[in-house]
Amino acid sequence: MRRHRFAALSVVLLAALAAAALSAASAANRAPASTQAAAGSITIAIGSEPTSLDPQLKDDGGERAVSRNIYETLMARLANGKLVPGLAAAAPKQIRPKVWRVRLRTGITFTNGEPMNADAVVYSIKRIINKKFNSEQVSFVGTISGARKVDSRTVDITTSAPDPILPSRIYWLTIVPPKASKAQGFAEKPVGTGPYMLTEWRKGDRITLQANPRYWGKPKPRIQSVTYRFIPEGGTRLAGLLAGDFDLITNLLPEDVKRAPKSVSAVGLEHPVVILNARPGNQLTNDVRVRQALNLAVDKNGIAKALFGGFARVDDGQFLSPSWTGYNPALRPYGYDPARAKQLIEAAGANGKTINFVGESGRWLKDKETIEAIASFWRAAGLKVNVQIFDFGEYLNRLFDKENRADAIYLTSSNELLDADRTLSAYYAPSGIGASNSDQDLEKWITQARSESNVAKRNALYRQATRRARDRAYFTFLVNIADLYGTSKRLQWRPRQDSLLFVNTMGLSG
Amino acid sequence: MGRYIVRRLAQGLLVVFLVTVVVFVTTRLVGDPVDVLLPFEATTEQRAEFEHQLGLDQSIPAQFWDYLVGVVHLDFGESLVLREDAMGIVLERLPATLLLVAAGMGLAFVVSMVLGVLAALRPGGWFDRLAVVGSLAALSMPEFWVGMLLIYVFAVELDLLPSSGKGGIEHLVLPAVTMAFATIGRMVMIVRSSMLDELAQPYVQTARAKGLSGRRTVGIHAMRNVSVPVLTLFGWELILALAGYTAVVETVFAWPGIGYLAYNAIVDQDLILLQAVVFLVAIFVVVINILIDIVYRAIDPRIQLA
Repeated sequence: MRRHRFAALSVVLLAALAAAALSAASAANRAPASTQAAAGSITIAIGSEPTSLDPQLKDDGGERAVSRNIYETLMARLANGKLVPGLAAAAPKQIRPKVWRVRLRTGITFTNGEPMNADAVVYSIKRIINKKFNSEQVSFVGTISGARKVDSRTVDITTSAPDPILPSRIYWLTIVPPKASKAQGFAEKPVGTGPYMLTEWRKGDRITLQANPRYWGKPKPRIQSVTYRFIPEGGTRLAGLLAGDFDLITNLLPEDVKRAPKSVSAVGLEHPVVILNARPGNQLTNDVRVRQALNLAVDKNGIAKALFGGFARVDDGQFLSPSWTGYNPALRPYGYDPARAKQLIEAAGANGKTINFVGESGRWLKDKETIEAIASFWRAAGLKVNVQIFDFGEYLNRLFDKENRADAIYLTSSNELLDADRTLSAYYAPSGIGASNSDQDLEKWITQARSESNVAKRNALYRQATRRARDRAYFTFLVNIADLYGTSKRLQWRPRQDSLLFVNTMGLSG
Repeated sequence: MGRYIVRRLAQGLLVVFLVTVVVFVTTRLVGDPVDVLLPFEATTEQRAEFEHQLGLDQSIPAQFWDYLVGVVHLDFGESLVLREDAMGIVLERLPATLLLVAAGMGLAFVVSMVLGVLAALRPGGWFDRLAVVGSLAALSMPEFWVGMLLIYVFAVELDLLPSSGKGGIEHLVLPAVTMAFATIGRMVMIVRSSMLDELAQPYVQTARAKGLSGRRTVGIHAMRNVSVPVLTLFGWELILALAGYTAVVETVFAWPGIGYLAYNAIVDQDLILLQAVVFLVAIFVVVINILIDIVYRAIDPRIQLA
């Protein structure tokens, strides 16, 4: 009896497996992914699933990748980063130090029929700054303290202090429909004004969007339907691209560029950098000669080529990208001069001393490899390097610990506002959350610049600050990494500086 | 039997409670979810406010008490990242994991029984040697690597199966085989050596001397005794699969189960979601252990369930 049961069970399982294999084979023959997609649909593989499709709630790359096709903002950006009017009819004007006036375009509706007007904009602003809402985007909208309707197409935005960055900030402020966003389940059923609208969200598996036939703006969507898949593993994403399952994959590894059917890249937002401890209490890196040596010792070009396959550009003594407000075009990178680095270390009496170098592994592209490369360059200059790789949580504890600063902390800095203030306030100004210097001039200049409405004066302050930080070597400056994408042969698309994936800028060939 | 199950369940509850305490305390000591959730450039005040809204500014004992009160009311809290009921999310993903584990472990069980017994019947023969070497190779390969290998062969090169995701049954084949791989390696070894031991026992000689057929001797008499060590290992493999392999296999294949969820929860430091996953997995581990004990007794009545 028992034997029969066992045998029966085996037969059932084997039959099921055989059926699986057969049906799989026939399914593959019946409908190869590529012919299906030729009818105007594409599949994009991103690294993580949106944690919500409420566009005001999360600081989440996966969410952004999808919902910025559904929702729009008052200001938009061109692919090169230049700010242009979006839902606003023109750039906002600072009518008083703490008040910005925005004129809206007219005749735009959300896909559920609600009008996009002053009421919707005021509502959206109040919604995101509401403390109870607890948005992770607080640091993007920062100084915004309120909004007031002037007339049906005019809104005044108030800030807690004069804020010249407001036009950049509202690039992160999506406009949501007042009625629909109050409904239960809004985070799963987005309703926007953008070129695409939600078809289906199968949690854990895929999100499908379709073109909004009444989209007001340009370019009009050329692809009817787009499916997002969430593939955390880079190897699996590449395999899916090679197998024809995907048309676009994010975070293609530099070493995989040759294997991908096609690859595209754009100067990205990410800058790996090392924060050096220049505070008076420190016994080693508080000496400017040592910090300069820690720059001269590192072969930045070598890192760009060997680790990033050439898809990186050497940072010129600042970790700002050229397209950002406040970038200093006059700065030059520290050269690679190991002999000079050695001399400086000797002169500072630091030869053979131990430098503590804190880092993490696996969070950012090539982080561990970069840390190891830097450590070996520093060793060659005559220092002992104690590399400490921590779990990300513990690493953050060290990065944000204002009291005890390690000699050197590795970081990949990013700046979604494309404005120097964000980077400089966090890492350059001594009061910043990740700063390791005590340069009060920097504090003063950066604070002044934050509320300086005169563009020329503001830029002058940033030039002063970036020049100081470069010459005093408060950081070991490294490279600006390019964003790399793998695409199918048929996908026509040029990536953007801000790393957003706008499907209405994509097309299919053939 | 009834009393036994009640007592084991009570012990199980204690285990689940202890696991909960450990997870609760360690996750809160290791890192601060606010650091991970907010952009780096968020100011100290913005961080403090965010932390306050999440209730993470209370002391750990106070948070733990709130958590326990919640659990008693079957409320596991809201995921920090997904901002929805944590247990609801886990239960939504559970069927995908159960399907994957059932397929993977079912496959592993059948294949390793067949291979192990066949190998033991002719020890030292070509099939036996092949099975031993093959098992060693299989159990030495990390799931991650096996998964990638299978994707490249069957999805990219041969274009027979989808490379990732969940859909029709064709999506299940590669993750299930990946999951079964190392288990087959370990199980074949145990089935084979247990069977060899049994076949050397006097009762097998007697059975053969009485003229029982080889199939009957092996299939009934020896198999029953082989089952006990094999089931012990299989139970262990089942637990490993649920609590460990799923995280790797589901991540490689983007399979929307609780392993993938746990991986994300760890990366995002979503303490609440992680607690819900661990709680559920701990319950599964306890139940599987009890079931195995009961099956033992069914196979071998000499075993006392005390």
